[in-house]
Amino acid sequence: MKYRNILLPLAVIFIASCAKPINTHPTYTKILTPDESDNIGGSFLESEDIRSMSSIMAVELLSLPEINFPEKSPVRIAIAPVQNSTAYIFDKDILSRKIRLELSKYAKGKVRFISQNKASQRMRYKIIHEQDEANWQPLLEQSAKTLINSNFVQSAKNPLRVGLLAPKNINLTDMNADSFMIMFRSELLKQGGGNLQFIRDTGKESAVDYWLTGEFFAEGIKNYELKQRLSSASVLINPYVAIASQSEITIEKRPNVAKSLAILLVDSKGEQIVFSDLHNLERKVNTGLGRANFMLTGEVKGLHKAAGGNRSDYILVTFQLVDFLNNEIIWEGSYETKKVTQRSAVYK
Amino acid sequence: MKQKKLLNVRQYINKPSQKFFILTSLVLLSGCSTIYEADRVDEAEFSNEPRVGFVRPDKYSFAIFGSRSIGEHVEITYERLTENEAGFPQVELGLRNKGGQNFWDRKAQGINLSIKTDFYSSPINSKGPTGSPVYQTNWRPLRTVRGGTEHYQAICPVKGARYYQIRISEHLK
Repeated sequence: MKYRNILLPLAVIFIASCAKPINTHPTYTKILTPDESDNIGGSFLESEDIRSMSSIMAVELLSLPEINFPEKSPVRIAIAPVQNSTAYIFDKDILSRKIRLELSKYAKGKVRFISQNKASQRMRYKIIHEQDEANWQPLLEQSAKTLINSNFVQSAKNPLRVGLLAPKNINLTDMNADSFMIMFRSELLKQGGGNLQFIRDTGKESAVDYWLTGEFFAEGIKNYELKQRLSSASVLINPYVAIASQSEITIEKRPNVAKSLAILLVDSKGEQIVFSDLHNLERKVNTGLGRANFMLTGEVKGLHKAAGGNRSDYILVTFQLVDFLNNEIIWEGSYETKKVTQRSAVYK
Repeated sequence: MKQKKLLNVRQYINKPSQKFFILTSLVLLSGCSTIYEADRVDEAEFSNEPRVGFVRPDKYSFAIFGSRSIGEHVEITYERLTENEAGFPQVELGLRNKGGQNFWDRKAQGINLSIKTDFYSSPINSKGPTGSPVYQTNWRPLRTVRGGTEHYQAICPVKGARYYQIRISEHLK
């Protein structure tokens, strides 16, 4: 009776206190480290295998004299797609990606990889072309300045009369050649200070001293082939152009070729080119693979066996570092596993 | 009226049993603060941790019927730290599965282990590692066949790591 007043409140406090043991499974999902087995089954490569393989191979690669003591630093590596020769369908690039991650982490700048991500390549393509487009106006300004300051313009007693001729457009793609020439004419008038007078097309050749014209060309487009197809095909789609009929041309894709413009000033009498200025309007966007020193490639092979509900898999993962100049394999590493399971699993 | 109430409270507090109750409540309530100090590792125990250590099994059976302890089945044949040809620190460890050697351990077979090495550039002194590791391998699966010796090798891609700790566990699951 003496301690009744104490015991009851104490019991309540103890029950409501913070002494609840820690809940190690607060949700339906259990968090594992990538090295832990998930206990789902399956006998193929697991995350622990991929991590082990990549860390072992990355260190072996870093120990190579070609990488550790290179003739030229940094060493650039391109990654070829891994070949999967097993019965399993899985994202095989996870293997090379993990090796790349390990190498990038510990190479300390000795190794560089060429980005081969398609989505990032598309973004890079856009960035470079936008930079090129931003450069068009300064290019025309510079060209106009060169022409205005040239000897034959400066030494002319009277203002030179110039007519505009439609430029020769070899590039059948996405550039409006006329607009470039009109922009250039405007720039000449702005900077000319009366040295140049532009004459509207009157049909009289005697009215002009010079013709301002240009030539657009794109490196790498097979122009003659396109013309042949234009005349023969009613419907044709090639990588660059979709043609519905002879009169209708639809640009399907911006071709990745260098596009240039040559601005020409031609003497109307002797048809002599008195001024020429060549500008690169758009660069060809290269993947950068041409700068690679080595190529990392790999293959996953398997020996599969199944009987009843049991399944056994021997998996051999090999990677090679190839000097693509002479096709020599300068390093080859392997990782192998053999697992047997009573519970097959689907890998994706 | 107010003074009477205060007097009643004072009398309540002065009772020995009530004093005990209030004190206990305060102690328990103070334990419910959101942040509390984390326990530190025991330095004496930590300093005794070996360079190559077996992790105790997740559960024990009664010892007389055989234990799942790795030490009963696996022994270290050699352990050395060298440098590979590129100058990277390299740890080599021989692990022999000695098999069942007791009448209660007749079923001992191959053992699946997970093994991990941490490399340090700062010394591991009497208080344990003095810095964070410069490189850690993952827990690599390693199967030891009964009677066989496995040669584990871990290379650290960071030069200058002269200290290491190896932990060997049951296969992580």
